[in-house]
Amino acid sequence: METNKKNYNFSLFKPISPYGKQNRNLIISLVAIWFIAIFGFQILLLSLQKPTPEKSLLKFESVWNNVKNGTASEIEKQDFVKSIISVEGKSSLKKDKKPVLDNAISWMVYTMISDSEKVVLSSYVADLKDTKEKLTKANDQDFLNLQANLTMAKSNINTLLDNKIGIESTDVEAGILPYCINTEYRDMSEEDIATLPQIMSLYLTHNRSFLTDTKFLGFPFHYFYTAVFLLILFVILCLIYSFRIQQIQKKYSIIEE
Amino acid sequence: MKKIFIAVSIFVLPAIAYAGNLTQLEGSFKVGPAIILIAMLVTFVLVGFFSRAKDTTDYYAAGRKISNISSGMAIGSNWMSAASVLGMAGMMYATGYNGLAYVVGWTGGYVLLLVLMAGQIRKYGKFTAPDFIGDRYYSQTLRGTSAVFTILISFAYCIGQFGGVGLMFKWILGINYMWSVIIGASVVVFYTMLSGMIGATKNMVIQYIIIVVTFLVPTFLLTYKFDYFWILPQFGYGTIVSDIIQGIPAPNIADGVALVNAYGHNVSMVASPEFAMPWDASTGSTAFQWMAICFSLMLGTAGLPHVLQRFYITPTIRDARLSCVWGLFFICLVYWSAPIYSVFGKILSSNPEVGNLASDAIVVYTAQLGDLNPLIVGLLAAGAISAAFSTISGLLVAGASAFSHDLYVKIINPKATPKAQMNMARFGTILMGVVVAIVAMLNLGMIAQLVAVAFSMAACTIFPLFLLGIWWSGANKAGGTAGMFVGVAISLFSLTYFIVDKSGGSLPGQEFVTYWLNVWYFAWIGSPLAIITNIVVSKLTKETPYEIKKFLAEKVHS
Repeated sequence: METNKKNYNFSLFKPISPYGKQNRNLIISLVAIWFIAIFGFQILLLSLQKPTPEKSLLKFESVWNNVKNGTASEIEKQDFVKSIISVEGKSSLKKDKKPVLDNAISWMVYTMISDSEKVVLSSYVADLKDTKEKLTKANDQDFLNLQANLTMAKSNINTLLDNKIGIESTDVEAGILPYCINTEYRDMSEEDIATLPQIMSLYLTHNRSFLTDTKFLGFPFHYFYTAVFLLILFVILCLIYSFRIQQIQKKYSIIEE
Repeated sequence: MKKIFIAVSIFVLPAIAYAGNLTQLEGSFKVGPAIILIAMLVTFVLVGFFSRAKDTTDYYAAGRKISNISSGMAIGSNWMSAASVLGMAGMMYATGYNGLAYVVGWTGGYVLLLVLMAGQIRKYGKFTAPDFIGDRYYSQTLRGTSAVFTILISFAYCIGQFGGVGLMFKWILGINYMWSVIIGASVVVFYTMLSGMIGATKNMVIQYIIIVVTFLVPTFLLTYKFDYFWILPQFGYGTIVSDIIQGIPAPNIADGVALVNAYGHNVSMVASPEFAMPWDASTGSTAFQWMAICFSLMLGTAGLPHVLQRFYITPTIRDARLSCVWGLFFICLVYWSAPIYSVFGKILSSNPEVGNLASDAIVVYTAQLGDLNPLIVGLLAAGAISAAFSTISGLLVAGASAFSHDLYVKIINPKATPKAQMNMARFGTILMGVVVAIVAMLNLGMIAQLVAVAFSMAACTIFPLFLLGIWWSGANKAGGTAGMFVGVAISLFSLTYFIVDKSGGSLPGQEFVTYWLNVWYFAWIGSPLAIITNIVVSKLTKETPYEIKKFLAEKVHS
């Protein structure tokens, strides 16, 4: 009797009916498209990418030796400060990296101004830090007053430094610089000197390729592909499956409950 | 449905109209959002009351009479938790391109779910995921184990949701966290207990509409206000991504006026390519992690019990498939929009005086920094609560069903009357709701993080059993048990290292395990290992009973 039993052994890859075979082909095709579209693209992105420095890093590297040796010109000092601000302005900057950058900017800024200006700058910076601290706990009118004081303190610092650093009040750097200066002048430590180029390289080098540099609808292409297109593709794959499986079932006269 | 929309019209719409005049920025009790919140809660309870479950089929599977579009909306809102609605943008804000792994992972899994499972699960005709596993693998042990895992996964997930509800209630009503959790939990447990899957699903449809409206409206307003392409912001935000990469070196001027955030800071920033470039070294993430997270989330999506259970509620198999398509589309509407909050969050918080924002609340902060009407911010919070409620009710039903149907009826008391089953399901809902609320009140950060493990755990335990159970007649009890054991062992291994790491300790190979078998993505290897184990052991042991093979071939695959 056992031998008369119909064979019901099957798997996705070895279906036992013509309908099953068409269903298998459809599933494998869609899953292959799905897999290649997601992971194939990311692997392509990975294989094409090259570590590419930002302009600020090239600028930093071109002046760093002279800055370190104390032989930098005024223009090189300005470039040094601006390149570090380009990292300080990144919201991705980790808290533990900031002190090294602050020390480097402060060291350079204080060496570019006179002794009397150092005293004034130090008091402006102390005022700024004090006001910002109070601002976090203030409400209502106190908050508005402190905000006005903060604007004043920033403006004082920028006015004092704009001729020296070459940053105008409308530049984005003008909003960042005041928060990068320490209240006291001191030389960069040996540890800071060793760490600074590593931090600069870490934050100013990015994986880029023509897939990241090509624009599509305003997006970098790879970003559009991953954030927008893949989701559209998923919906389309699901639609294709739903309609195709119905056609296949109709072909084999399969009626689902 | 008529009753439901009448309830919505009576309570929610006038509340929104009136709340617009009353919303305040300051003060601990926010009148406008509070009116919206209370109207919403009353609506949810009324819908639950009107849709009371009459029998166990109503309670577990909504009477199998939910249409495919409604079911799609329910899939969407059941899937999108508060963390998803609020946290998705936060991940991209904090980690840039790496955050897109979550967007792709949490949507791509639905393709697998549709082509490999949705129709077949419905054809099999059971009520719950453990029910399928117990029958297919003819094993009470596997039924019991998967029921326990269903409860654990639902439990871990629920704690995070209750925490989110507590925070939002606290923000709106100005009451302490404990009372916030108690009120929120009482409402959702009450209507879920009363109506089971049927009321939960009808509420999910309303909740989806609330989520999508409250989430999309601010994206149009922000892009319009900051002079980007606003007609279709889901495509228009590309220019903002490019602006972030190149930097906005001077005040951004539109119509002769500098664009500013709510604090008056210019919308300008230094070049920040790390936000959009793949696997930037400064973010600390690698291409491997991106792909492992994406893969694990996709398999996890196709293995989560409360997601699988949604395919039992449709009238037909075709409806099960179409509901999956609709569900994915409805989820994508929100996921296409989430990056908009992250890019606006980036440019509006670029001034050092704003500083880094808490990424979990970036959606609300972005609306605030964009100086949108406070009512809009209140609506966003209401949307987040809706998202949390819809997920909680789905999880409560999944957990309670596993408890009452799979543990109590199928294992402990097979002779239970339908009335006793209903009572047990309701008791299970209350029990789970109360226990989760108590744990959520403890506000343990560690537990919220453990939610992450639910995906990988589902991918390592339930997904392999479903995949092989449906698609290979050779998968048998011994193979299923061995596969489950491997999946559980890898889950516990990774979880142990995670807990030790978070507690400040260290085990041998801590760094290696933390990188290669992280709780977020250990399924990249755990799931394939569980599948291979199932296959090998099945091949080596007594073959699947003939009746099961016949049932699969004749009922599920033809």
